[in-house]
Amino acid sequence: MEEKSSNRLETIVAILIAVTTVLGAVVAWRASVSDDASGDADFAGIQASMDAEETRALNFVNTYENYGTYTTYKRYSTLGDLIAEDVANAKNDQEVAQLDAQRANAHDLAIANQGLFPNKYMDRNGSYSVQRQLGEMWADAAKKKDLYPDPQFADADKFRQKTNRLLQSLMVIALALVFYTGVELVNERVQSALATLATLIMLGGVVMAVLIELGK
Amino acid sequence: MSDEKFKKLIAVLIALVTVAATVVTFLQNDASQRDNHANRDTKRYAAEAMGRKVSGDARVNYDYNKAYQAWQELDLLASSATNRGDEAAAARYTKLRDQMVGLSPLLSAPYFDPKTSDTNIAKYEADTYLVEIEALTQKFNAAGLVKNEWDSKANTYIVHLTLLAVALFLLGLAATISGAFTRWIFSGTGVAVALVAVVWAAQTWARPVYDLREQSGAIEAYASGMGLEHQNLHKEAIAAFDEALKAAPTFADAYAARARAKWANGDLAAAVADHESARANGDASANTAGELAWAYYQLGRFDDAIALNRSALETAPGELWIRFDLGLALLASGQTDAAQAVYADGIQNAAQQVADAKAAGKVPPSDLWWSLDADAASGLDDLISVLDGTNAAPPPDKIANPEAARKIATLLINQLKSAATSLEFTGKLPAGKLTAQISPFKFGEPVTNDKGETTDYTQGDTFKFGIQSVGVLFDYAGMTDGQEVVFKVYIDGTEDPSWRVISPWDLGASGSAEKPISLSYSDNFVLPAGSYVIEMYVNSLLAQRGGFVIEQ
Repeated sequence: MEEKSSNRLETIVAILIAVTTVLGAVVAWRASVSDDASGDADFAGIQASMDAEETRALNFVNTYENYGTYTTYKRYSTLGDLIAEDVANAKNDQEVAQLDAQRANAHDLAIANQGLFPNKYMDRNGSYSVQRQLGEMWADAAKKKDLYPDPQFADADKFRQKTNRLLQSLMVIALALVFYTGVELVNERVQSALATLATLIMLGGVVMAVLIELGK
Repeated sequence: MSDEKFKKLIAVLIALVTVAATVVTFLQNDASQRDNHANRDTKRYAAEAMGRKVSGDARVNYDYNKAYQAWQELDLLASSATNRGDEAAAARYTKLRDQMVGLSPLLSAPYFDPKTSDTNIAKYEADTYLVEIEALTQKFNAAGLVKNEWDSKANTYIVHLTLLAVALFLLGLAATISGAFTRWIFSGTGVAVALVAVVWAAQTWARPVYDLREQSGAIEAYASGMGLEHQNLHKEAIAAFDEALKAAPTFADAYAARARAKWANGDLAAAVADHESARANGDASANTAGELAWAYYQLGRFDDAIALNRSALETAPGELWIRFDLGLALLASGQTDAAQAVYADGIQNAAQQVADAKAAGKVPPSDLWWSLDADAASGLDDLISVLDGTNAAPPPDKIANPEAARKIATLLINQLKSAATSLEFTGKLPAGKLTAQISPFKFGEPVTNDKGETTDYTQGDTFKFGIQSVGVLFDYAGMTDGQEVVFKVYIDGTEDPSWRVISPWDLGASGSAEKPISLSYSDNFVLPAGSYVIEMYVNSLLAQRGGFVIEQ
């Protein structure tokens, strides 16, 4: 009767070892999937980071080129205005003609530069808003591509953590195997207790893995 | 032990090794993930540093080359108008100039002083982007080291896993073998291999990974120091590097940077100690080795300088400045033949670099001319000035065979300068010998008549600031019309290429000549204060050189 009972326990333990091994393999698979996802998120983050820096660099280069052209425009425009003020105080016709020619030249140069920068960023006072242009260009670029790497990197870190925790649960599950194999080495009185302990450890590992998988 | 019991024991051992394998797998995965994380950081820092540099450059280029330049031009125009007596135009330009101030923060305090029209572009660059880039660069370096360390750990764990797999195989084999002795051998070996793997894995796990980014404030203090050093604020920079080293005592780059700051601040001995610390903490760069070798040379430690230069050349054989520093140390130590051989080798190396660049359709590296002329020839000039008693480093009493050193240094200066000019203009080393005889240069301030024509020169070698023109006076013989003649002007040791004159000779075989140094078409130009050296080359061969000083 006792031998029959022992054989039954051995069969159950053998089945549980097989089940534990399969569960361990499933957890290892989930850890691998999570690890792969962290790599993908990292790649997306790096891509966003490169795009963001490329956008920032190009925006700065273009904006300050525009601002440089605006500066030339502003210089000649103001110079023309100042010469025009001096025309009124000219002492003779020759000086008037000379100053007026200089004024016309300055204003012509201002006009030549006026079309070379986006004048929508000029305000009513005639000053140029570099920050507004940079902001608009960034917003435009952000509509076309992802410029924010931080969320991607946060996802990658989350997946990494998940992988690690799944592997920790795998260690717990593997520990159950030690107790299952130990069942055969101990006397019959404690065999059931050891098998129960192993099962509890295995279940603990599985529950842990399920909770990690569910994101809890 | 019965067969059944042995097999049960083996089963338990297999289970234990399996648990160990899962633990090592976890550690391997963890190390691999940290490796990936650090790798990601390096890419991110590199991208950010590149982006910030380009955007920072774009901004500073505008501020300096557009806004500040406009201010300067208008200021000059106002000054010119005042000189011409056109007050209305002067007022106009002044008003317009003042309006430019609002276009850039560079034209406001603390970067700009309108009274002197001086701008502190170095501070502006440091504040705008340089400090940030230095920090990102250091973070990149630190992340790279962290990546390497975790990569090494992850790979080592794979070795442990392999050993554990071998152990499992041996234990499994032991369970299938009937011979008692053999199965004990297999099981014993399996257990031993597993134990080795577990202990080794534990050691690997316990090995700390140093991350400079976690040393609170070290990188920030270093970057701040680099920003201050960029502004030539050496004392402040040294204090910042002190702070960085307090936070991270093994920070090699901070030692190297502090060494440069201390050197610039005049404390050569302290600079040497810091350079040595940088090397002791892992800075294996040829640059640091070359700088330290130069410091040894300056202190008269020629043997140390020679050994270190040779060591640096092993890692960077193409660095001409290190090669020429080696030649200089050999010359100062009395090894004249070896010195000349090193210089000849360096000149050949430079010629080869030019030939390679030309063959590849590229421009020769710009530091080549600096290495030949500003570095190598200047070093020899300085050695001669030490022998003349006008320079104190290296200590004159340490120089072996001074007269031979002077003679060979003069010869080498001619060779180096002729090689640099010839390589630049013809792409080849100079051929033939100099046949022209040019008398030593004399210098004079022009004396003009009522029509502004130069009638004579007031000769001297020192002139007061404010002088608009200096004439270079010399006699010549053995010249041939059509020979290519180059004049170069050096101000405080650096050539100002805007003064360079290249023209075919057309003054006949012999006579006297005057070469004016001036911008006579300007209302405002005066020669800047400094020490001037004029060099004359005939068919790329240095024919004469001489100098004068414009006082402050």
